[in-house]
Amino acid sequence: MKKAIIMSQLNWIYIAFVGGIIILSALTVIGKMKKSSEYNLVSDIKIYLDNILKNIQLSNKAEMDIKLPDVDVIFECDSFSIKGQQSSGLPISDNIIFSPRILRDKMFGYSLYWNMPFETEFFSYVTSPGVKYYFIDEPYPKKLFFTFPDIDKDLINFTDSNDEIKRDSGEKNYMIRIITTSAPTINKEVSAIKIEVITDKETFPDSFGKVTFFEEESEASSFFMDKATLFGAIYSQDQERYECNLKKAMQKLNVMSNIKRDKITEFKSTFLYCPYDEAIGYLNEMIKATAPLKTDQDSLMKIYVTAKKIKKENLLLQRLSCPMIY
Amino acid sequence: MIKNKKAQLEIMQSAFSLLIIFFIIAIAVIFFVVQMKSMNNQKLDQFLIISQIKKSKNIALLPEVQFTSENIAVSDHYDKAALMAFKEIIDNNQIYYRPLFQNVKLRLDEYDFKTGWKEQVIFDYSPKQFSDMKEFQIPVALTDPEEYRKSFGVIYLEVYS
Repeated sequence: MKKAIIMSQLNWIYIAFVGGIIILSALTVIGKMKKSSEYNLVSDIKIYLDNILKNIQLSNKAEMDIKLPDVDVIFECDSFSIKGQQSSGLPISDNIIFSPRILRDKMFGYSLYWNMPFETEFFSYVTSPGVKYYFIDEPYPKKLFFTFPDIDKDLINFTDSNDEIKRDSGEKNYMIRIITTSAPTINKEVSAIKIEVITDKETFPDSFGKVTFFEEESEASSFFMDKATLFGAIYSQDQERYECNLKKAMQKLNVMSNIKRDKITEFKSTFLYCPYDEAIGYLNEMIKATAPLKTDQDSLMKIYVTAKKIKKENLLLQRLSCPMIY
Repeated sequence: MIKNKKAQLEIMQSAFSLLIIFFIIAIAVIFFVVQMKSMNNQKLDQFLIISQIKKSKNIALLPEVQFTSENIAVSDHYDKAALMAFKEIIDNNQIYYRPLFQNVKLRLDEYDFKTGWKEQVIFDYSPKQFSDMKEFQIPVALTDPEEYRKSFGVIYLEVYS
């Protein structure tokens, strides 16, 4: 009788032990599977997003609308990553992408070729439906509004701007950007870009000007040289990210100028009647101006002016039936 | 004596079923690990193919060598003079181009009606040791702005991984 009780107790202990092991194993496997599927999802997103970004980059002027999985994609200047994931970000050093820091739900992509003055590099612009762009009804922002990609944008009066923005800020829009030429009102969700055109006002947005980034606690300035760079400033989260991309673009412009100069130096000995010296001089100026990767007004103005000179020389060569710079 | 034997049998039965359970769990774990490994390998292959395609796109649309008309790039059309200049420049700008192209070899085969095919290597970043190589062939039109001459060529892009 006593032995039977002991046996029964031992059996229960045995069942509890084995059951425990089975439950523990199942929990471990489930945990591992969950972790692994999360990892797979993140790596899938990264790989496909990287390819999508490349496609956006190469589809000049095409507007793209891409659904994102239920994650926040964090964009830095040199990489992008998934919010909340510890794995390292995927580098995007070969792409020039202007974007807000966080992309959610969807990704609206757009791309423009940067001509300075020759086709230098694709600029990609990405944003999300949660980012709203308000163009204040003033001459420059209004002109910009009609050339801006068809994303969540509105043209509003400066006097109505506060009410409209208050109505739209909140859960739907996690970021609001005002594009204006006057002093903007900003807060935590609302940031602003103030545009001041310095030269070539009549050809705006293909002109040189100053952009001031207004954020809740900071204010920083930079410069734009054409429509592509101005769009870059509007799409960028802040001045730091904008200038980081601008430096990448300048690096490419430097290489491109070297190629163009070497190309026409070869022409010089064949086409003795063609005035290549001026063009070579301007391309050398461009190489010198872009090499230090400086983003101050003087350096960028130098690039802008030299690009105009190269453009003029190119037209002259065309008129003289000489092989052109670009 | 009989009771003792019965108890021994019960203990053996218990030990045996314990062994079977452990065995099943071990099989499940091994199956899971193998499955994960194969999935990861598949993913790695997929990633390699995508990155190889990305590189080929990068090179096929290089603004450095594309032929432009009125400053608009003509697709699948390369400027021979720019290509030659690029060949020189790329050696002096390895810091910029090496991370962009990584392990890639770019070769141009140009067809000349008089002399036939002429081969030239634009750059060669192929590694000494590699596990996989994919070759992409891109037929291109070539324009020599110096002689106003058009020709046909094939870009051979070897992507190593």
